Amino acid sequence: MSHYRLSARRGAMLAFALLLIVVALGGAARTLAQEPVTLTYGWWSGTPEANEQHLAWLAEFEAAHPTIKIEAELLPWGAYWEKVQTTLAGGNAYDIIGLTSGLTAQYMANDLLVDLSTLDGYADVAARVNPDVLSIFNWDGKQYVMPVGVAARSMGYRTDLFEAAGVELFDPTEPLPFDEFVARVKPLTVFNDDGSVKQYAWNPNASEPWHMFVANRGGSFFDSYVNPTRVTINTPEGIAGLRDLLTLVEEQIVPPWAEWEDNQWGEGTVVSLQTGTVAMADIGPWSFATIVGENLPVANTVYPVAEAGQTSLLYSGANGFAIPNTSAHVAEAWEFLKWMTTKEAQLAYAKWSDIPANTEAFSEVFTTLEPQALVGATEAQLAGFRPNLLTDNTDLDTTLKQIMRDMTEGRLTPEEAAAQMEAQGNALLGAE
Amino acid sequence: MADMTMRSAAPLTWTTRLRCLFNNDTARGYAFITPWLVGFLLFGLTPMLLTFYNSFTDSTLFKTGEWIGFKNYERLFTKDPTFQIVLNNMALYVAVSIPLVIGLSLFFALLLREQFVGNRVFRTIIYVPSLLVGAASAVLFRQLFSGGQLGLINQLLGLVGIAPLNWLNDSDRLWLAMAALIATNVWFLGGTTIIFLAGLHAIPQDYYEAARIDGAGSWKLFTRITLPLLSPTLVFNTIMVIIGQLQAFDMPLIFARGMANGFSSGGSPLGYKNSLAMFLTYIYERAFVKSEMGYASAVAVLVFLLTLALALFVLFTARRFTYFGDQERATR
Amino acid sequence: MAQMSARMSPVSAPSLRGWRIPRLKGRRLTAYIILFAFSFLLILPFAWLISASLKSEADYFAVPTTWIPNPIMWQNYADVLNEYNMLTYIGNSLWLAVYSVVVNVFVSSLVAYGFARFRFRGRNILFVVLLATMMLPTQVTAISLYRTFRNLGWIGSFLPILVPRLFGSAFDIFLFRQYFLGLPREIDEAAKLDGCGAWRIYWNIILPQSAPILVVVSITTFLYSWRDLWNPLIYLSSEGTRTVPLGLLLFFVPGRGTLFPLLMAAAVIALIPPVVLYVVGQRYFDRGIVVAEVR
Repeated sequence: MSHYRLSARRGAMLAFALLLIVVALGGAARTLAQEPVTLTYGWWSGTPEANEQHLAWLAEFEAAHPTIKIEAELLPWGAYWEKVQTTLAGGNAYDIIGLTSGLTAQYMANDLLVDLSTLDGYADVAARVNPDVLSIFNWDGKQYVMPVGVAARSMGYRTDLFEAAGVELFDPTEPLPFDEFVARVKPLTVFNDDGSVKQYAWNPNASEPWHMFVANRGGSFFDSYVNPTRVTINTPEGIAGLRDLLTLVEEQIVPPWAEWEDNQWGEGTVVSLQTGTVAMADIGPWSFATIVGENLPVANTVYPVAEAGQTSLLYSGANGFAIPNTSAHVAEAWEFLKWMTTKEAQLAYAKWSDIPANTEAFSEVFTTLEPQALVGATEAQLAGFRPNLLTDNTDLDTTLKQIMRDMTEGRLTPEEAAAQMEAQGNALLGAE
Repeated sequence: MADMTMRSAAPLTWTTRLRCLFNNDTARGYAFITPWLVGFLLFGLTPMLLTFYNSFTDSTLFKTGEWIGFKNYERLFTKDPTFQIVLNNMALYVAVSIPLVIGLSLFFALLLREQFVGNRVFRTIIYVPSLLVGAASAVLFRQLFSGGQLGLINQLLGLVGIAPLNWLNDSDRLWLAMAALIATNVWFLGGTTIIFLAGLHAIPQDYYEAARIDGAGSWKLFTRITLPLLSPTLVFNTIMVIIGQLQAFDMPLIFARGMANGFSSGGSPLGYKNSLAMFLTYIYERAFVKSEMGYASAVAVLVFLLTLALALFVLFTARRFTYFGDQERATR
Repeated sequence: MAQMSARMSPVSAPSLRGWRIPRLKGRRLTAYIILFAFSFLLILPFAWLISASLKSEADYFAVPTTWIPNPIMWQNYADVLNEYNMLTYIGNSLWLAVYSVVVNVFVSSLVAYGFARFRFRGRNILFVVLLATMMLPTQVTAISLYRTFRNLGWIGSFLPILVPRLFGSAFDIFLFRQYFLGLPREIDEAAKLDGCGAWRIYWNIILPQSAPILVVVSITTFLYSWRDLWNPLIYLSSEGTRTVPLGLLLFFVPGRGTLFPLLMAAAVIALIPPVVLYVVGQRYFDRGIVVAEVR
């Protein structure tokens, strides 16, 4: 019977033991105090080589600031944004958060980040940075993010596919008028015997070229691309821009909307070019290493314009760093932001990522960027930089795209589409 | 059981009392369930209560809001056309996929109970899709139902002369996306099937032998022995499938969003023209894309109540028909 | 009737007899046809997965799909293992999963035994509460749980992942309970007459009778942990503690595009541990209970 008594207690004892373990473990976890200051740092992950260079870049900062250590976490793209959002909502975000303009509006609109313009020496820092790029992150008069680099996209194309179709290669820096562009690239769409398409001239998935078409014709989708309050597409110019998009679909220069959105032709990036089923797609400095590494026959040019003599436009984003309100080390994090806007830090940054936001480094980087053959178009394209849409109204972009898709599928004329976009978009923005 | 321990009671009064306290079913029962109870009180209860509270506020993802009474619920039923689409989608999805999953897995479990060559191979094949890690299963199932000639299902249909369908992105036939979503269940029968199989293995063989001696046919064996003795497992699987289907999340999200950016950004989580809007993706969209935590909580509470009602209905219905080894019906 | 008996009794039928072709008739033949047709459908995506994992990027996007890669890129597997630290991620995921299995199988079965075999005040309500914990969508509770762990100071440690396991999982408790309810009560009564207490009945009588369900819970727990992206992502932050689901996302490279063949190769590698566990688990799965032995 004695063994029985023992076992009768066991159930209850076990429960107490579990509780004790929890309490003990909880105590142990709390006793981590650091000296010197450690900053947590988040950014998204690139290729393994890019990540290594990224960490080396941070080590340069640490070498220059012996009292600050950086604990970096480079997460896969999708996972990174989940974590940024959860930790910001949970009040425990990285001290230094890497942000990209397209996914920042929610945090700016909710005032979760430190207004950098209130910090010591802000004016000096801001003066180093390209003002157009800086303005992307200026929301309600507060500077929430300090830009580090610009996404300098340009139109990449497969020279071998051009040659095979007997199409003359583009001049890297001289944009073609739209009609000429259409006539030139049309033979790049190649058909199978059964009439299905084997190769498309252009995958516009990543470039979303309708913004630039509308602007080329003298219109604009919104009153302002940063925190818009009105949709302004329903003008003759706006409709003309939409008609350009429709032309691309009707002439089968680009795949049907559903197919590119479904990634049936790659993602509209260098991957599309790698597949050999798309002749033109977006590239940027981040894809240069791939092009060199895999010996892809790729050249680049600037996007088409409406009329000869116009500047080719680039609707694109920027990346930058922010400090959350909840950070316990705002001063130290600010030290990092100051450092990373210096010319030297920016030149080092350019080696593994975008074109720097620092104006001096900006012009210098073009002399060192490899391969030089791709630099001319990249630089020329950047001259027409305009910010992408930045809004915390997440339905806006989806709604407009669905209407444009309806138009490309023949359910709406450009005029009807423009009217619908303005009506539905303004209803979403509360601008009626 | 209790009297047996009493015999070994120690002389001291307080310990005797203490032991008496532990020597009845109540004390023992609580002792055994303590680990769960502690965990629930520590980590489960607060988030639950907070969600109920939030559903009556205008909280955002980032800030706790003001008390607004039943406004969220009112809006949900009277002013939210998207939620109407969600309800329609869910009604169709649940009505088809719950019987489909239960029926097919029970069928396969009955087949797999028998000994035959290839049995274990098939048991592995049926379970492997459930073993895939998220990113892989996302790419795989997007590929399976991809439009054009890239999609594997379209290639199969091509063999019988059917033109490629644009499963997830068709402008006119929005229901195709829902059909694809229902069909994916076929690849995830493994979990339910092996639980049925485990339940079948727990039925003592001599019951069948006894019945067979009495001359029972195979249908009679199924309805008189298999089904009643399997009923605890059947109850479990039905409830879990109800929860799983009402709260389908991963696959609709994978189908709704393009793969270009991995998972987080780009594209509505509800699919083209809300064709893939489900309860949980809608909650996700409200809470994380639009930051409306209060409103999302109201939807969540509704889903919670609906799931609970259905589960209790199954439990109480089963009570009438269930056989339990301990012949005890109090729980159900 | 004799044939029926062989069908119904998993312990007695010698499996080799199935090789004989004459047995393939009637219902058995129908069963085979159904299973083969179904297997084909189930295998299709996996055949594609394995084929894609051996393709070059250009080959991957070829239309119509090629099933035999040309060239066969074994290099993909080497790249995944060497350049992407897959082995580290597998190691991390593995110990978390094994911990989960050991702790959860024990605790959940213990709690389930309490629910299944004792009549106590509040039991039914608590059981409904247990079920209810599975029904509130986690999307709305995740943030407040995160805040709880932040207030405890546990963020950045393994505690938010390890500690909740100590309390069992509602799913598995429910599953165990249903199974225990199905076990004939005579087996406990017999043990009780032999002087066994509650603990010993659970440990020496109930658990040994529960091989199939122990296998099922082990596998589902392993999978739950193995496939868990969210918790390690949110609560851990060092490269050295990264797990497999997160590791697979590394192949989505912004700007560069998704490295599909490498992702597929990594997915195949990530399938190996759970498949091995499942195949091994099956060996214990067929040990159904035999009441006669207990009596």
